[in-house]
Amino acid sequence: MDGDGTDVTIFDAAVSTRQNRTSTMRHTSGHRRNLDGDLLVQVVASFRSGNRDAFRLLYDKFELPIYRFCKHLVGDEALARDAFQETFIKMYEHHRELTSDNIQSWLFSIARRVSLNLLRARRKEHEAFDETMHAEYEPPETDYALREHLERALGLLPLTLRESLILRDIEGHSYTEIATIVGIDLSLAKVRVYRARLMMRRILSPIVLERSR
Amino acid sequence: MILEQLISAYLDGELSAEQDAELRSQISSDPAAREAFDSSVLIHIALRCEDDTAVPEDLRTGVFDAVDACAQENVPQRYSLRATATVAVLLAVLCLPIRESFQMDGSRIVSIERESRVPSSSAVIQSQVARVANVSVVKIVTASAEEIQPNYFTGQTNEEPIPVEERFGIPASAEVVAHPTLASVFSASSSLTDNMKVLDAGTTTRPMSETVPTRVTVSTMYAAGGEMINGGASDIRQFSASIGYGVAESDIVGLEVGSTTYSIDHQTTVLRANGSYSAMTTTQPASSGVPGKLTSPDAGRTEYSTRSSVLTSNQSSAWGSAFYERRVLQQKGLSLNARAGAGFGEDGALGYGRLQCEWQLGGIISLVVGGEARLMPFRTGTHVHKISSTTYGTAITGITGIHLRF
Repeated sequence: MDGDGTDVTIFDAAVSTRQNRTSTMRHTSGHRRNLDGDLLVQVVASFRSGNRDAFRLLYDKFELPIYRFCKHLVGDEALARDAFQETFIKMYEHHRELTSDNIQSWLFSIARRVSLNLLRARRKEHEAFDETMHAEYEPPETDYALREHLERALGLLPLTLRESLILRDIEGHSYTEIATIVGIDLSLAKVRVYRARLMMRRILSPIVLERSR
Repeated sequence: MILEQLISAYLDGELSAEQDAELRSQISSDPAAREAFDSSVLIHIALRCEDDTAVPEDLRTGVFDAVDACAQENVPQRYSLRATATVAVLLAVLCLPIRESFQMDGSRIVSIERESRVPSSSAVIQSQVARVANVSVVKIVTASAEEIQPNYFTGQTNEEPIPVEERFGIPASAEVVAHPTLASVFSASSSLTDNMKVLDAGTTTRPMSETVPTRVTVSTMYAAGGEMINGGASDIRQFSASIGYGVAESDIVGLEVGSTTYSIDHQTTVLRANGSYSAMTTTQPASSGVPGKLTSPDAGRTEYSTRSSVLTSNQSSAWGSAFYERRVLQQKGLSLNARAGAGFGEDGALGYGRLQCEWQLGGIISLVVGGEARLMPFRTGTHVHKISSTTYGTAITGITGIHLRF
């Protein structure tokens, strides 16, 4: 599904009808739209029954957001690759457990759990895992691109604040979706994003203001 | 609200008119507040604009290969579970004890079941003689009496007479044509009334054989014209074969295997992807000193077109089950039997109830006509000839078939 016009059958379900049947094909007119709304619901329903083509469509839709989320959360390219692969494999393995149509929240919650498990496993090997760890950020003497400053600042945030900030300000999730993905209540989700923004400003304020002048 | 809260609410686009005015006031009057606002907004924009993450190309292949391998692993497990369950049902049925019962086929005594509660030495001798005999039976004698006997185990006398019944066949070579007395069948103190019943083996074997339990039945059944209740399947056809064992006079247990075919409509939606991804964009706030409104960035878009069609497909599913059948009514050559079965098919567990009228054509052959209600899984979703989803429904069909009773 790379824009080459390949046809994929994503939905094949029984139609309940008692009228006289004839083996004729009835076509509806095609229309152009994104993979969202009713079409996404159909694809998700097809995926729930194990349809691999539906899985590939959902992979195309979510591969960039999931990889970006994993990369920002774990802060390591190799670990992000592992988290990304394991997320989508688990997504397919547990397709029957998808009970709602909100596949985005379900998929991000899988990515979050996988990423945190990989982080914990790696940190056990090297140092004690402390989710509240944070430090003062000292800008390096070399001229880093703003992107690199942002990544380093994100890495300094505690995990609980980092994941909420990524989901809100990078991935654009609502606070309700963040609460669902992380498994917290709505007010705590807002507090975490607020505190994360505050910490990011305190870390990066001198750099961004200097660059903006 | 404090400044940081106002800024955070501004970034979320959730400022009220009053809060917006308050934020503008603080920014315009306090340079530190202005710096905090500017840096927060710039960081917020940079988090999206500065991100140029791209998914490595090799990850796609690795994920799809792993998913394909996972899909392949799941298929054998599903069938092995059903196969195991089917074998377990078969073994359970085959291990059921079968009670020997009196059977007369018109030419020889096969076995005799003693129905008396209190052992009678003379009756035992008679039964043993009849059991080993392999001769033609002229008459079948049913001897009924009420016995007052000491309990075989405790030695105490029963307070009330115990009804006893003995059934045995008189071979053709017997010299004594007259039937024996009850005293010769039961103990000497037993006879209160002589209500011996004698049935000729020739002309009256028909009534006797009707009450003789069947040992083995073999049948083939065909069902057609079935419909699924409140569902999309129709033209349900079914062919089955069964073998049963008589466990009591009117009860049979056995195994049945068959195949069910039905027509079902499927709606197929074909998706075609066209177009390309576009980069995320965002707008920066105005630099005039007045806070501008943040706008949502344009999301990357891939355009799709769809085409839906409805096709009628024929589906076929094999199944196996264990059943219990009981004769409900019996009238001369006609009987009404009820059968209940449960088992497994290709798509899942199933169960059925059947009411059938059996007409004895002659000898061991019977014609069966009846109806069946069957709860079974129907293939409501398929993809490229593979089952993607099933839905349970009830099918009502009429059945006809042939029974052979041995």
